[in-house]
Amino acid sequence: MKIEINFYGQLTDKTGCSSFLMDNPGTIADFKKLVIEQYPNLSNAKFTIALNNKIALDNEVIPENAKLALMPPFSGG
Amino acid sequence: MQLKNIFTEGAITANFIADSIAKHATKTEIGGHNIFLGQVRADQIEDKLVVAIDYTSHVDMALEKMHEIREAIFTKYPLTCMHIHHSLGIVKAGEICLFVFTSSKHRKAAIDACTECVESIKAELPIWGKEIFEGEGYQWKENK
Repeated sequence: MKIEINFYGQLTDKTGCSSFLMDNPGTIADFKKLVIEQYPNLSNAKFTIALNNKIALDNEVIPENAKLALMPPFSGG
Repeated sequence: MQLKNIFTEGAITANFIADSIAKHATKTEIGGHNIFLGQVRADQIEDKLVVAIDYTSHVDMALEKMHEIREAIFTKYPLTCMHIHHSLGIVKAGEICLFVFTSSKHRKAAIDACTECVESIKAELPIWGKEIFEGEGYQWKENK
């Protein structure tokens, strides 16, 4: 089962895309490692990860059909 | 559950704000309103001038988070009502991009709740501003 990944804000400049699909890697920590391998420009970027609209911790297991969001520091208002 | 939408495409107009104030005339238990308006600033960054901000958001998450913030503020302060509007897309310098409007029986609750709500919006909602320079180029906004 694929999971959906979306990039937001300045991260889209670093990845050159706003979303992609990947095989479920297991945990958030596993995902982080893979996404930085795939998009090396992210290695020095500041971001938090949301799993199905909630901020996720490294040890969380990614469920099937999950939506992950990589979000740089917020700058609304 | 239907989450309240806070997003408006483009700037929030003075007419919209005036209408919103007028709608409260029937709520005669209110004794004080507090309004915060965020306006796009024409910052000068080195030799470049900001002419607009282009806002994007992780909308679903922002609306869920806003719902939580709203619930927490209503629990903490005796408010009659609270309205929040934030722009998406292009807002030019001098135009309004954020409108927070709180009302209560006595002024203190409205004032304190409004301030807390604005701080929470800036810190917790997944929204990003891209500052567009005159001519060409941009930089991503950072909240201070």
